[in-house]
Amino acid sequence: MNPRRLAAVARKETLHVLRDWRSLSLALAIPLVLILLYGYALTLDLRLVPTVVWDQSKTPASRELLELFAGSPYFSIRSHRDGYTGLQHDLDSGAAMIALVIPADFAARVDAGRPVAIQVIGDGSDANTSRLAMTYATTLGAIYAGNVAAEQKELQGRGRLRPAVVMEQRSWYNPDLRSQTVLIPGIIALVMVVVAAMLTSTTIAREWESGTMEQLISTPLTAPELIFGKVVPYFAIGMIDVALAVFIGRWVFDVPIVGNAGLLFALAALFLTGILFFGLLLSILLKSQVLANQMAIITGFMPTLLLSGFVFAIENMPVPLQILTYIFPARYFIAILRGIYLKGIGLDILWLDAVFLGVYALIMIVAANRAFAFKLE
Amino acid sequence: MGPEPVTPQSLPAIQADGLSKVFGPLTAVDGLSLQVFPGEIFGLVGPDGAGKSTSLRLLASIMAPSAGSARIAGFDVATEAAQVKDQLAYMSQRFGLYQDLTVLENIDFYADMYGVARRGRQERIGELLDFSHMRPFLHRRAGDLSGGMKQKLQLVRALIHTPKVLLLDEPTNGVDPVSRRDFWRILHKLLQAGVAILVTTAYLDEAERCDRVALLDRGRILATGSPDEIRRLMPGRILTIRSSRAREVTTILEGRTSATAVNTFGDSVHLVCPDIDRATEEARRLLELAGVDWDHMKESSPSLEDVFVSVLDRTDGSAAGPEPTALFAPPPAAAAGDGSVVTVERLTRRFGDFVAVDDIGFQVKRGEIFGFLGPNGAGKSTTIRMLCGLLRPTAGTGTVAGFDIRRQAEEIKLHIGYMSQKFSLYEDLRVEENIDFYGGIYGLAGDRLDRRKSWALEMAGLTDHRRSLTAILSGGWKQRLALACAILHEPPIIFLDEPTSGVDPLSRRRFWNLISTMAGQGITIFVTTHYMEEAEYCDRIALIYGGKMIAIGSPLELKTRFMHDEIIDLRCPDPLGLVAALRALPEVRDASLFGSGLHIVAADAAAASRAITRLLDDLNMKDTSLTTILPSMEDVFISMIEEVNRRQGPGGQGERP
Repeated sequence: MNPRRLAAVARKETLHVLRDWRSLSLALAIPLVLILLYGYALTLDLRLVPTVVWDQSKTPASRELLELFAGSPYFSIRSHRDGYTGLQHDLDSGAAMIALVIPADFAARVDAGRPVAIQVIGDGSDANTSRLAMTYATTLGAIYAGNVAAEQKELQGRGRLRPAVVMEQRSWYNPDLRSQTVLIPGIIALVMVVVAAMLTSTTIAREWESGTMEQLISTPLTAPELIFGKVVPYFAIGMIDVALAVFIGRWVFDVPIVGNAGLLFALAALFLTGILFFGLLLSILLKSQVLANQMAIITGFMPTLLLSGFVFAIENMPVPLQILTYIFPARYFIAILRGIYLKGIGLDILWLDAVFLGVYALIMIVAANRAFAFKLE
Repeated sequence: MGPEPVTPQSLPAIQADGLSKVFGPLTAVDGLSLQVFPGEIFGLVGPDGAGKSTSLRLLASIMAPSAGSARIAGFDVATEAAQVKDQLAYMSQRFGLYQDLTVLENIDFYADMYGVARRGRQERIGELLDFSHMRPFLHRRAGDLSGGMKQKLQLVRALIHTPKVLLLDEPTNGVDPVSRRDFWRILHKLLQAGVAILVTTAYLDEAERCDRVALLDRGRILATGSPDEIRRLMPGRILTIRSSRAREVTTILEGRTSATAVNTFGDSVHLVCPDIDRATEEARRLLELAGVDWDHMKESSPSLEDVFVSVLDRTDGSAAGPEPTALFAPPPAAAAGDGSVVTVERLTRRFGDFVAVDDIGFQVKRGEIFGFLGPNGAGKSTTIRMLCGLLRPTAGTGTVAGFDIRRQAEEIKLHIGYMSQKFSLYEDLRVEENIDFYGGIYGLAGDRLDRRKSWALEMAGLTDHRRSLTAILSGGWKQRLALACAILHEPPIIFLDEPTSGVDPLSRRRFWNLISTMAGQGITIFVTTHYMEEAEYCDRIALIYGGKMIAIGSPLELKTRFMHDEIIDLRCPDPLGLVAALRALPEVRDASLFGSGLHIVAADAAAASRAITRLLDDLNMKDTSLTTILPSMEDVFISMIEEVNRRQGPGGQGERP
C-alpha cells in the first residue's frame, strides 16, 4: 500500500464529507436525536400512574390507605368515582390506568382484625405498565397491612411487632434502578451502528454510480488503498459521535462512566472499525447507494435494538435467537459498555468480548477487500 | 496500407493482437488488432454498440479480455497492469471527476494517484492550465463547469503524469464547437511530445482529424487507414445536386436512377452512384421531365460519414432498422397568411440576473425543417420550452400553430409533438407498453389507438420486437420509438430537442430521411442540435450563442453570406511542423491540423494563399496543394462566435470566470 495514495483518497473523501453538509449534519444530528429520543421515551420506570378510586368506605381507615398511594411516587390519584360505570369510563378513556375499589365494610373489618379484600383493576392493554403498577399496589397494600397489624399489637400492649423475615433489597451498579443508566450505554452502540454503517454504505456505490470508479481503476490506485483511505473520515465522524453520546449521557442524563474512559474509547474504535467495514462491504456488494443504505439500516438498527441485550435480556430469549445474537457485534459491545459504564470493570473480565469485536472487525476488513473487484466486469 | 509512424524505427505504443471480449451471448469485441505509434493519433470509429468503449477498457487494463493480448508502451495489459497504468491515461465517456471538488482539488487528487512529486507539481499544473486556458477556473467546482470545460479538465487530469499513451472515449461528445476545437488543438500539441493517442468518436468529421482511423462494427474492424485511404473505399462516387426544391428532387430521383442511395441535406441532394456520368444523365432527364430547377449538379468528394454509411449499409442493412414506409398526414396547422406556423418576436427569458434567451425573433413556415443550432447552454432548450408552453417568457410574444404561447399553453400541447434528448421512454416497460402509455396520455383509444400503435411499431421498425423490453434496444431503435411515441396524436408541429445524441451515423441518416419525408408531407419540424453536421439537413438554421441569435438562413446562405472568413485546405508533408509558422503570418487568422493536412482560416483567401505560397517556397517544401474550400457549418459557427467575441472584447470562450 502506498501511503500517499491512501492519504490522497482520505483527503478527497473528507472533502466530499465537508461539501455534503446535509449528510454531515445528518451524521451529527442522528446521534443527538436518537439519544434524546431513547433517553427520554424509552424509560422502563414507573412514575405517577394515573389512578381512579371508588372509596365505598369513606372512613379514616380507607383515607389512610389512599394516602399511602397518593404519597408514593408511583401513583397519582386523579379522580374519585361512585360505581363501576365511572371507573370503566376512566379506564376506557385512558384517564386512569389503575382503579382501586375499597369495599364499604373496609373500616369495620380492619378494626375487627378480619381479612379484607381491595380490588385493583389494571388496564391490561398496556400489559407492562399495568403489571408493574399492580405489583406496586400489592406492595403498598402489604405495607398498609403491616402497619395495621403493628398498631393493633401495640394497642393490645403486646410490644412491637417483629417481622419474621425481611428482604433487604439493594441493586448494585444502579442503586436507583434508573432505566437511563442502563440504556445510555446501549444507545451509544445503537448510534454507532446506525451512523457508521449508513456513512460507508454509500461511499463505494457512489463512485460506481457517478462513473468515477472507472477513472480510478485506470490509475495505479489499488483496492486496499481506496478502501482504507475511504474509511478514514468516517472513522473520525464515528468517534466524534461516540464522544457526543458520552457527553450527552454524562451532562444531560447524568450517567457518568464509572470505569476507564480510555478503554471505552479504545474498544469503541475497534467496534466502529468493524461496523464501518461492514457498511463498506454492503456498498461493494450492492453497488447501489439507496439499496446499500437501506440494508445498512435494516441489518444494523434492528438487531442492535432487539438482539443485543439493549432492551431485552438475551437470557430470556428462545435458544435459537440466543445463538443468533452471537453474530451481531453489538452484543459484545453493549456488554463491554455496561461493564465499563456501570460496573467499572476492565479488560481482565471483558477480554473475551473485546476479542470477539476484534475478530469481527478483522473478518469485515478481509471480506471487504476480497469482495471488491477493482475491475470492470 | 501500412502505418505511417512519425519515427519509423519506433515500437508501437499501443499494440493489440486478437483482443476479444465476450459478455454472455454477446461478443462485444471480436479479434481486435491494431497498432498506434508514438506521435500518432488514431481514431476508432463506429456506431453505438460497435465495441469502441469495450476496446478502450481492455487496452486500459480496467477490464480483462476474454482472448487475445495487448501491450501498452511495451507492457502487457493482463500481466503487467501496474506498469501499464503508470504509462497511460484513460478518459472514460462519463465525467470521471468529482463534481463537488474544485478543479485544483481534482487535479491534485490524480497527481497523488500517479505519485507526481509535490515539488514542481505546481509548475506542471500551471503549464497544463495555461495550455488549456483553464487557469481562471482553478477554484471552481467541477460540477459548475460547462460541458466543454469539463472535458478539458478531464484532459488536464489525464496529462498530469505525462503519460505515453492517451486513451480517450468519445471525449468531445456534447461539447460546443469552440471547446471542441480547443480540445483537438491540445491533442495535436501532445503529438509533438510523442504521445500516442487512441480516440473513439461518433463525430465523423472529427475522425478526419486523425492520422489513421479504423472503422469498427459489431466488434470487428472493417477497415483501417488514413482518412484519405478510407475515403477510397467508397464503392461509388457522390453526385451533389443543389436545388431550392431539394426534397422534391429526392422524391423524383428515389429508386429511379442507377444511384444506390439518395439523401437530402437541406438544399442539396447526394446521390451515391457507381457511374457518375450515367447518374448525372439520368438525374438531368428526370428533373427536366418533372420541371424542377436545380442550381448545380456536380461530383463532390465523399465525407467519411458517406463512406461509413455505405460500408455499414453493405455489411448489415438491419443494424439501424428498415427504411420507414407508412406515414401520416396531420390536419394542416393553422398557418398565418404568410404560411408561418411558429412566430416569435423579441422573446426573452431571464433567470434572476442571467439572461438565458435574449431578444430572439424568427418565423417557421409550414413543412419547414428549422434548426436551432448552438452549443450547450446557449439557450436552445429554454426557447423550446417557452414555445411548448412549459415556461413563461419574461418578455416578448410568440404563437405556435396559431396559439399564444403565454395564454394558450394547453392548446399548444395538443397540437405539438415533443421529443426530448433523453428519449423519455420507460426502460423497464416493453415497447408496446410505452406506446400504450403515451397513447393514453394523448387520449387515444379504441380503433384510433390500435391504428396508431401499429403505425408506430412499423415506423420504428419494431413490429417484431413489440414485446421486447425497451432497455435492451440500441440508441437508434430507442430514438425512433421515442419519436413514434411523441407523434402518436398526429401533431402538425414536431419539436425535437437534440434528437440524435447517442445515435450512430447510420441510424442518424435514416432518422433524418424520415424527418425529411415528414416535412415533405407538410409537417413542420423544429429541431435543436449542437451537432454542427446535423444542421446540414435543415432548410433553415438559426445560430444561437449566449442567448442571442447571431445568424439565420439556409445552410448555404450561412456558409457564403454570413461567413466572412474563408477556409483554405493545405496539403503538405509535415503539417504539424508548419502550424506555428502559419499562425505567425499576419494574413492568417488561424491554422489547425485537419486529418493529413491543415485548415487555414483567413479573412482574405487570395492574400493568405499568396503569403502561404511564399512561406512554403522559403521553406523549400514540395508536394503541396492549396485549395479554398466551402467552410463546414462548424467553421461558420466558430468564426461567427469569434466575431461576437472580438466585438465584445477579450474574455470570450463562452465562459465567464
